[in-house]
Amino acid sequence: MNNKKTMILVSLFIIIAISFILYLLLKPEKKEIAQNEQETPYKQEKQELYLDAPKPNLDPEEVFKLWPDLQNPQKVNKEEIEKQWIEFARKYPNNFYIPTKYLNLTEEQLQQRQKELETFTYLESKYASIKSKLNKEAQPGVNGPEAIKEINPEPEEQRTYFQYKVKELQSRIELIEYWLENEGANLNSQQKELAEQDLQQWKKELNEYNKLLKEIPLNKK
Amino acid sequence: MFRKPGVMGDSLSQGFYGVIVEKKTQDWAYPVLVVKQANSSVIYNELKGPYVNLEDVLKGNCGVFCIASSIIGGNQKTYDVPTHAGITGANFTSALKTSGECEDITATKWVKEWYWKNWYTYTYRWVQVPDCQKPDKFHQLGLRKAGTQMQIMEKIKPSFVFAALGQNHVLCTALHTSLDCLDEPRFRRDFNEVMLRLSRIDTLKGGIIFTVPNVTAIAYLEPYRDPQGRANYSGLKPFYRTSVSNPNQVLDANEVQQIKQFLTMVNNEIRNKAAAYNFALADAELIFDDIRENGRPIRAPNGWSPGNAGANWPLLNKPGLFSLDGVHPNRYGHAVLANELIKAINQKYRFNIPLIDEYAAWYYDSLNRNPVDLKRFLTENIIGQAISWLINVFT
Repeated sequence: MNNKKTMILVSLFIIIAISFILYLLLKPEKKEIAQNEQETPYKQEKQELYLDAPKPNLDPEEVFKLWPDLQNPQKVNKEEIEKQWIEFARKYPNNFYIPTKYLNLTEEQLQQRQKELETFTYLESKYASIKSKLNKEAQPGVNGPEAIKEINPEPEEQRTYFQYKVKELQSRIELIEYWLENEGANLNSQQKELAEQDLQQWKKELNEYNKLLKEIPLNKK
Repeated sequence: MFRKPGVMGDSLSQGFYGVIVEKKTQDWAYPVLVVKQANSSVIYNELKGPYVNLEDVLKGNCGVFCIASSIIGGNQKTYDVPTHAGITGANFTSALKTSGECEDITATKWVKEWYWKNWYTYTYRWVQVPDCQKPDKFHQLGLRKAGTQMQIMEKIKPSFVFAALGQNHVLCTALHTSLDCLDEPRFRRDFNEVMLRLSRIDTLKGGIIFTVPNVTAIAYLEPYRDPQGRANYSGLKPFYRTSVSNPNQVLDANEVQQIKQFLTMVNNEIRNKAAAYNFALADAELIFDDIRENGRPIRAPNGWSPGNAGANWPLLNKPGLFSLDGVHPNRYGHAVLANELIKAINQKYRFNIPLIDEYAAWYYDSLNRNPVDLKRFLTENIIGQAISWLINVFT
């Protein structure tokens, strides 16, 4: 009788132990979390395209190994972002960085923006190109040319270029200062230091562009 | 061979994505994917900018503080000596010369050094000292105090190296719509030196380089025909221009031809060096031409397909490999590039590194799944600044 009891107890113990080991090996917890997380990015973006696209045949662990950002998708609070822009626009209504959706721009103003973009980017690319060329030809101790024949903009064009630079730089300075005012306490020392260095440099550049703007003649060449 | 991989490279390897480098995009960059598939790993200084993630901004997911923070940039995590040293804007020249602290470690300047010539003469002599100018932020934050890309490889002594740095010797032509930046002697000289110094690393068992895709076929440029039929006003213009008022605003047929000739020289040199140094070679030029011509099939295991991907940023029902700068790949594009590298490595060294599931890469690519029609946003001022940023980083 005692032997039989012992046998039953031992068998029960073995069954429980095996079940426990099997449970540990096959516990579904991790996989379930992973599958839920796998779906998160697209729930958040409410994408409506390709609704019939089947899920890839890839184990979630494999997905997260390749693309770790999918495991902890960035949480976006659109309402908070809207609030940020509205408050910022109240303080700096003419800031270059305010998205058009917060501004009441006329068709004419939008066309003007497109025109400015084209003039600015054209001259920006030409100056970058000239810099490459001059760098290639540079000789130590010899100054660059007094005038660049390859690029000879009209005063009006050059004014648009510098005005764009001034507006952008001024706005960038406002944006960073506003950020430091509001979030400065939460920033790490590296970002604070970089921001301070950048602001110092940008303010110098801004002064220079403002001076150059004043040198541009009013009339055509 | 993948015991200790090392990475030299440019924006493609660092994960620059319309127009930012941040941890998420660094993690999906092609060398990181290849190394993971080979069951190995690389470490890199993690960035949080600069400049801005246009996708996030245009989708309204990045507000005032997010934009400000990413414009300034910074490090999320750092390492004393990273094994992945790829840096946005780099080429073979900057891989040799630019560290995280000095724009050109070989630059010197003359300064007066005052000294006692003898007990009664206090005088000076001119001496040459290092002239350390601060580099751009990608180098500052990406390399920090570890040295130049080349010095890092010499320090870490990799067993396998990614060394594709040819792109930025040619890409500037597309961004500047000009040939001024082409410099064949510099390319040849610095490519030679990089390969020579890599060959002297005694631990190195192999590596991979790839040819430069046709930069005149990237999404940044689009065909333009002058309404008056003038040949020098027709050709390829940047996507954001509505018209052309000056021949300098396009790459005309003659200029495109000259770029192609330069590209042929660059790619022949890359093919020759790969053979000479026993490196694997991925022919990205050929692969990109094929994608441009035929698209890249995207197919789920059950046969479902969103269509072939093209050499464009994704649009409605038009999948694409590019990010919103029209120059750099998106998550899906990096998986495609990584697979082409894996195929080349497998073929060269008889390995069996598994390919990445390209359908999964497309499925999880937020820009492909939820495209942004960039041309609808050209009146957003941030676009102009993003373009300016791009033009000046890739000079």
